Amino acid sequence: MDGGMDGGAFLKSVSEGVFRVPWCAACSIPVWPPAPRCGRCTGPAGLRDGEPEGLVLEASGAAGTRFGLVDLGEGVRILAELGGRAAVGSRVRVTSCGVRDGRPYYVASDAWM
Amino acid sequence: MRVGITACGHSGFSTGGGAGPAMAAAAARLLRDYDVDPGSVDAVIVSSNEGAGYLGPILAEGAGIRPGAAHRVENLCSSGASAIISAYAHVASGLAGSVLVCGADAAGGPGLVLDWDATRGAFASPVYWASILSSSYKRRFGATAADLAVIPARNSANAEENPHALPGGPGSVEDVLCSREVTDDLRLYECSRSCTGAAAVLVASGPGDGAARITGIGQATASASFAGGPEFLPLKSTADAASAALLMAGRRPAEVGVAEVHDAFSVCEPMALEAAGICAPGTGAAYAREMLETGSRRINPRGGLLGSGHPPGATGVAQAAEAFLQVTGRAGGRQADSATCGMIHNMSAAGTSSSVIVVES
Ligand SMILES: [Zn+2]
Repeated sequence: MDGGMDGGAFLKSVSEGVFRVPWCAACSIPVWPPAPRCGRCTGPAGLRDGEPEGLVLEASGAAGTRFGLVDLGEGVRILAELGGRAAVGSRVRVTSCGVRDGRPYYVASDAWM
Repeated sequence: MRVGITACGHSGFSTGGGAGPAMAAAAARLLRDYDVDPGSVDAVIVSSNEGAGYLGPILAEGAGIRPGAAHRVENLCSSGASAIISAYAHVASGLAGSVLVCGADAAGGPGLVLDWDATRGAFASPVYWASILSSSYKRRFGATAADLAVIPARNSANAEENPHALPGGPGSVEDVLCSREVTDDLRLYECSRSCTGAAAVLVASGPGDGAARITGIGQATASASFAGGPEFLPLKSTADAASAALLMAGRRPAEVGVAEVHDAFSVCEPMALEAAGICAPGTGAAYAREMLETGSRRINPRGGLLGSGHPPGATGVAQAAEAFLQVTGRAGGRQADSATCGMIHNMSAAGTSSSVIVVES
């Protein structure tokens, strides 16, 4: 391991624009930060069905882009661009994601309905 | 076994040059200024984030040291304190009688961004977690940008008495508030500057007069990722490490007469002081203003990271060198009052891990 990112199936899904929580079915826990295998049982990490709903814990902004710390539950948290009117305390979903310059990006918005 | 810091050395912090020459200069100055026989040094531990390998033996050969162990410790921004604690363990266990610890990094080198961390998404640069912490601190405690701007202004003023500091910090609170907006919650002068620099200390057994005894050590690692971990509690690792270090030393936070804390960004100073119990929650920024007005040098007398520059491998060692100078009364124009008990706080990656060391005269 060279210290680079190796998010396994999670990053592949993110690159296709679909945010799914990396999940170990055997342990019933998220594999977070994302990794190809579960750190507890070493079994392969899969992806849990369904889009997680989250809460904006903290927020700031830079160069006209708002971003925040989003808690998706069970210890899964991300730094995401905030879309819609999302602010601290908003319920959000990851409405867009992808991989740019080798890094994942996430957009969380309160306007998914 | 008693273990202490008995000597220190520095390179100047600058915007140019490589880590290797800086490291060699810091070690050479330690050996010369404290009249240390290279033959008496049993081990060499380098702290650095440099890509090049074998830095321990390279430093030893250049300095004329023929050590047993010669290796490197890497732990991002807290590599330095981690290396000193490893040196302490070598001496306390009897593996070595004296260990030269030398930390160095070059401007723009690795060690500032944790590429591995997928939880940060597109916001990998440290300015983003710092922005989140700054915004959070303001929201929770009603602090303003002007309150936090006092910290870099004061630390930069302290650095004027530090001959090794990187020049070019803000001259006033106004300068901080008028500097370029990096994010909505951070101005340019609120961010420590990457630079080239090195610092060295000698960690040895049976420290005598003129040495700083290492009386407390605490380390805590909450997570590697900014947004992972079982719960989001910023600088929890600092609270845990400081509490452990003070317990080992048998000291209370109020007894800390001088402290170098890891002000990588302005908000980090009050957050660290509050986590360590030196300030009550929400009062750290007001304390900086009070120190600015009274001229107190209790916190970050060498200028901290904001005032001195931040070569990540060197920072913790430079903090320890300052604590050694302070508690032994050698700090000259930046000497703090009542500095018999000193503390250093060095942390990594948004405070996901912290190391705290207590030294006493
Ligand atoms: Zn598992």
